[in-house]
Amino acid sequence: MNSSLRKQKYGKRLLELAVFLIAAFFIFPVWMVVVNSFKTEKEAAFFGLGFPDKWQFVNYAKVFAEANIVQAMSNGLLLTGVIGALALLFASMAAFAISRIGTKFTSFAYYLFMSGIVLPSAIIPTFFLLQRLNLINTYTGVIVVLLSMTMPVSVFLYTGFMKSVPKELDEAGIIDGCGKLRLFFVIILPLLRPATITVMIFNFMGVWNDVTTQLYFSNADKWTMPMMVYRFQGMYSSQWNLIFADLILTSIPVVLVYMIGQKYMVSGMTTGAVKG
Amino acid sequence: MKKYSPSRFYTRSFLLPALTFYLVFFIFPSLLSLILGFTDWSTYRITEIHFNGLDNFKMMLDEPIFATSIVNTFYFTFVSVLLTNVLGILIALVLNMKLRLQSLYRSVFFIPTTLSILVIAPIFSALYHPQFGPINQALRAIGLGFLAQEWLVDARYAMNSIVVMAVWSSIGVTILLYLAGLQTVPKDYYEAADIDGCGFWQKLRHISLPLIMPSITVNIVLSFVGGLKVFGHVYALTNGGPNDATQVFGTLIFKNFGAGLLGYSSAVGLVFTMIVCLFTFILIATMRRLEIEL
Repeated sequence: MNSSLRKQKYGKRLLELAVFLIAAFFIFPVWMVVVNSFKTEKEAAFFGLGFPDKWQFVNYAKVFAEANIVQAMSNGLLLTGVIGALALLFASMAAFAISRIGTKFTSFAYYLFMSGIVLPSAIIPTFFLLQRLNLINTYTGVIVVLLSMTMPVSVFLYTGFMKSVPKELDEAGIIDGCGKLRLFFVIILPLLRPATITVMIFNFMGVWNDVTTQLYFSNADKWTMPMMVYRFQGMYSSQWNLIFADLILTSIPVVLVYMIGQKYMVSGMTTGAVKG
Repeated sequence: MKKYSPSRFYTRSFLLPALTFYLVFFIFPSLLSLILGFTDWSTYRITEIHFNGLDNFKMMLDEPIFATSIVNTFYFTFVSVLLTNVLGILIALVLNMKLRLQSLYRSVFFIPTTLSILVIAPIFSALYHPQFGPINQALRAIGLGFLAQEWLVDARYAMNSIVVMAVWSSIGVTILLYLAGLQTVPKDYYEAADIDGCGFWQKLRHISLPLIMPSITVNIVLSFVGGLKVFGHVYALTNGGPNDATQVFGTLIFKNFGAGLLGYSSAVGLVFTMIVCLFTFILIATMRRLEIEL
């Protein structure tokens, strides 16, 4: 008995070491990017994993000056802000109707939204539509397309979470004299916070990191930061120190958003996805 | 007391904003491809659109690149679904054991999923760099220099190189969903199994796997659909090359769009949509049957 217990403890130690090594191996590309972003062009060309001989903070200043960071960042904030706000408003309202009314019509609407998780977006016909509406290369065009693409997952997450909000609350609200709008916006919506935060993070990442919509429907002056990275990489193809610095600047906003929302996200995601 | 009637509390009009945008800018274009796919619409005669019958579909069959794209898309999907899920379950099982640094590990595996594929692709171009890339340097350093390859230029390895990047970039979500599934398995099942003297594999086969079957279905379906729709990974890393060795549906549509063949790429998109729907339907049906059998 004693020896088998000791064996188990030994096994756990070994496992811990194995996981540590796997995680280190997994994250080492990020390490490579970080250290090399502070090196000179010559030194960074070898992708060494050691610290720089002399820290070149000037790389970041250079990228800031030459990579259109400010323009791309404001594009990103505009798109993520508008789409994020509209998506959570529209999706939460839709999910409320779907989960509370429960008629044939609402369940049809639900399955219609869910089909969007599987269905690929018909990109060329969308191009046709935007062209007829004079929305090619406009913020509005990108916004409406991305907004409609965020609907399926947002509605799914909200509907899943809505099940954990008891119906009795609605009745209490109505008895206290709430109208249909106040019932939702004052009583229900605040209770959906974990789902709201999860939806916000997902949509922020989805829009910030979007490739297809911007590539097909808008030009470089309206692109977000990751799209500009692609362009920057083409222009500075051998200056890896600058490319890496640009990658880091581009990723800071998403990683920050993820870290802030992380603790809500697990519950928001799993109540919807696993129990739903 | 008044009778409970939903219509007094709730209103269907709450569905209106979401449904309107979704129908106009997502569903309607899908239906539109049923028309545009049968036309000769092109950037050269943008306002003159004529029906051309089945010409677009005949052209697809005549072009070898079309068959190549189908094969490549399915290869990418199959291998990445397999790797992501097998590795995902194993890592989730270990992380579920309450190790030290557990939440740090969770972040480590999740952070790549927050990054844009346009950020990840340059990182992997560096890793795969034939001369100074860390992968080839490491192989040379341990005396396996003969294994060093031109990972993105050699047609034999390019697709697998993209698969590796795809697994790295998306396994975080898979792990998270498996962890959530594992947390719903009651602890006493494992304790009972321990008393009966079951080993790791037996517990995995007879307790964990059957009980997390719903998570497995969700993960496999999501990674399958994501795999078929792959575009950014290929676009940013190889753009379909070398010699169409990594050409997939997403890049094929973009290529024809770039060439101005709008009617033709609508038709390719239409075929693609039908393939995705058909195979996802088959997959979901199969997974449902498996769930019951286990």
